[in-house]
Amino acid sequence: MTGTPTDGPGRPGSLTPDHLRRLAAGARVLSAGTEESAFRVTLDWAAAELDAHGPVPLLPAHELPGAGLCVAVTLAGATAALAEQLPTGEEPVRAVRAVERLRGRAAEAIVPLNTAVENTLIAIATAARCGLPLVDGDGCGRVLPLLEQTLFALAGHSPAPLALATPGGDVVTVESAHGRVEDLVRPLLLACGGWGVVAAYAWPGADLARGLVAGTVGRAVAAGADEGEPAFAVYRPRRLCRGRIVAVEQSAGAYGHLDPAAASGDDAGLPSRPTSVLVDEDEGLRRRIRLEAHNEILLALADGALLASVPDQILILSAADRRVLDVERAVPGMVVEIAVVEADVRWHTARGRALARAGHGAPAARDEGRSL
Amino acid sequence: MSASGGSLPLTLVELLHHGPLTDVTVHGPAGRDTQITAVRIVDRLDALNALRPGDAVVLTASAASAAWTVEMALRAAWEHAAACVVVAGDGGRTGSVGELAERLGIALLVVEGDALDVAVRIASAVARPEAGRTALVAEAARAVAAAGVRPSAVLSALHGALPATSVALTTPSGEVAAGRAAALEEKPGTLRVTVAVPAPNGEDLARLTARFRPRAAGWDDTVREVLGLAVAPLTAWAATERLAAERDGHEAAQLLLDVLDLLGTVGSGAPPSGAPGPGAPQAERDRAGAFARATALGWPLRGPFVVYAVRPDGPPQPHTGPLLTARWARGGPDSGPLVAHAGVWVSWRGTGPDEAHGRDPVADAERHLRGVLAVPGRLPRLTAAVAGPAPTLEDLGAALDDAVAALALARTGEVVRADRTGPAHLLAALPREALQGPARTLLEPVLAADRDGTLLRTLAVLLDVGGAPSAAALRLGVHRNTVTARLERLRGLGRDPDDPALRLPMHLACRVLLDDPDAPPDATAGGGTDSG
Repeated sequence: MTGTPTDGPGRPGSLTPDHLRRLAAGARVLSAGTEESAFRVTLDWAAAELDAHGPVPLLPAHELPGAGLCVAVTLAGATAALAEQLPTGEEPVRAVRAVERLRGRAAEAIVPLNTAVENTLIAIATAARCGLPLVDGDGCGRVLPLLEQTLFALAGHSPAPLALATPGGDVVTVESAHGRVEDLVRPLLLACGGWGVVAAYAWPGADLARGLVAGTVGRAVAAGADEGEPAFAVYRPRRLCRGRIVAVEQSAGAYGHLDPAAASGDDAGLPSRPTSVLVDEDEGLRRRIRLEAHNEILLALADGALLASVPDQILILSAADRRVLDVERAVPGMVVEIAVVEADVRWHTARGRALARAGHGAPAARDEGRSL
Repeated sequence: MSASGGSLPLTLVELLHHGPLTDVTVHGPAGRDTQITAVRIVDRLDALNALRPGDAVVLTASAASAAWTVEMALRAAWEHAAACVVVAGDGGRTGSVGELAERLGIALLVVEGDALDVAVRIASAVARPEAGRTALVAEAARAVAAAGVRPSAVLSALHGALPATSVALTTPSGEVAAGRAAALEEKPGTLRVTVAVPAPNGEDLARLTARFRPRAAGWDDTVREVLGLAVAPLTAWAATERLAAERDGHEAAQLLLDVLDLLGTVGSGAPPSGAPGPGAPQAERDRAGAFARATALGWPLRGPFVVYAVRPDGPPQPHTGPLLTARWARGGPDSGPLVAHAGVWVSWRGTGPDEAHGRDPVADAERHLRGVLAVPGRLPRLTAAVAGPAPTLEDLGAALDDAVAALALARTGEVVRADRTGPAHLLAALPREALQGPARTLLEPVLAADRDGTLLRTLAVLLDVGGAPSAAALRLGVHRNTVTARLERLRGLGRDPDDPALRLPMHLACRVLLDDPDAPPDATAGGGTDSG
């Protein structure tokens, strides 16, 4: 699997402030849309915890405590709200402790829910504060917006019991959600200032290992080791084409009802407006490329034929500096490259695609691109 | 929803031009020769994997709700060789999608109305493709009927009924009488359909020729059927024109003048290459109208021509024209039209390829003319002349002038060739009445001495043969000495045939006094009346 990281010899044994800096840079390579203020806050937060509690051991996936409880940690809510209501620093500990109480045992490792840079930094802060190792991996291998959109869930593990700790000092626990976690948690977040730290997927290491994408933390550190193209290459993107943006249109959206494989969507969870970016290929077959975006780029068509779609991550790179370009910043006239970072193989199963497409039912890719 | 067996499938062109759809906006290649064999309603994307060649892919409103779904449908249609993609009730998103339709060469039809309703209407047309063709023919019949019998209007109706087709009405010799000359031009990738238009009497009047790019199998049959609708009105038009021309010979005479006049005033002598548009100069439109009417009357318009001029004896009688026309018609189509012109009757006909090679077309025409004139009847005696050949229509006027001039020189009952009128005809053309007095005055001494006319006749023959007594004796059937004696008497009377000052006046005077206008040419003294 091209885009799936593995435990490698370059992986650090523990995360120092220097690793943290590199990880922060490396994890941002693919996420052009990161809220800058939230990123600064979580980076400072994690750095402070490392300063206070020392380096965090980075646990290779195969060394996961088989019977020991592992807890996944993530930031929930709007990242912009994080800068408006600054964390107290206690939120992760309170969330983990609440889950430990529900499970009746102590956590032995912390794992990031997905590869979003804020989530990884929160997980590092949590592990430092709790004095626990951080698992080198995550439950997604990429970033998906919903709490249930994880390979853990795909492997049959419920996010519940989970705990939400808010900056106001509240802790809310949910013991059995029956697939309604997002519905339950979202209103709570609105009530408590817009964001909180969630501890979920508290399962024995051997169980969680089945849903783990290994090596993603170490990969982010490696990506941050250098600037520019070498860092990007760590993610092994496949180049799809190169061309010039000719139009950016408002799209009609309405993706959910077309594909029978799509899960029932919740467009309310995807706040930005659907957008189409049209690119005229300036080489090869000179195809007309259409990128359909809604929060992220959902699919890429070349002359109507599917090039790539979610759960693979489709990226617009500025041809000038090969940096990832946010869809919101795409304007006609720009020369860009379109690349795709393939998702973990488990996302490409029928159930995996359905889960990844929750909220937008884009079709499955069937075309092969070229490697960058 | 697929086509019934047996008949040819509906084509995209038929669906668009004569099908059940209204308010269609087409992106991509609409002129494609694409057959529609079935209708496939697509309401979800996975249905695109099941498309078949010839499908008209109708996207439901939800399936067509985003540009990218329409693009995927176009792509799938292209991959499966489907006929077209149909989107009902455009949401204004087809701009960029239309470019892909163009690029892939798949027609994208944006149709007003509900998708399912559109699908049912297309399916109905696909199931009965002949209904679309019948609708086309019915529409053409209505348009042709409304156009009346004028060729320009009939051709205009045909052009309206047959999309992207050029139609021309041509004479048997190939001139365009109405329509578009492009119909006659051989172009790669085009087909031609020709339908004969008979004259009221069953003869070949004209041809309708249509040229088009083949759209579908059987399209040429449809074109032929539509052209057939125009045959009856065009024949009726010819009948109307001929009736009018026969009822009033002045009309034909005026038309001939118009044709000759237009040939003189409008540059090229060739018939018009096509119907002039509304912006054409008045002269061009006049010209086209004159040629169309000439076609209706069956007038030959392609050279080379031979030309006849005919003059009945005696003062004009009311019944002379109809009688002559009837006599002329009995001569068959070789006789050509008979038109009053320059105080006589003229006619002309094209000479065929046989006559162009080796044979003398004027001799043939002369023979034909003698045959026509020899038919006994109530007509007065006819005098006629033949002229030609005139290579082109432009030369027709000059040839008619030649024939009329030769006719003026011909003696009553004679058939003369304009290219062979001899000296006797020149002399015969002299104004005898006016010259009688001077002639008698000049030859007064001879006439006074000449009791039986032998002296005058001898003088004439001597002048005819150049003053040689032996030749004159032979011509007169007397002994040479007799001629010599008469010559001496003439000299004695002061009228010496060898006197250069007197020779030409005396010769003229002899002709005036001796020639009997009604006498046959060989009865005149001196011979040499006709070198032919």
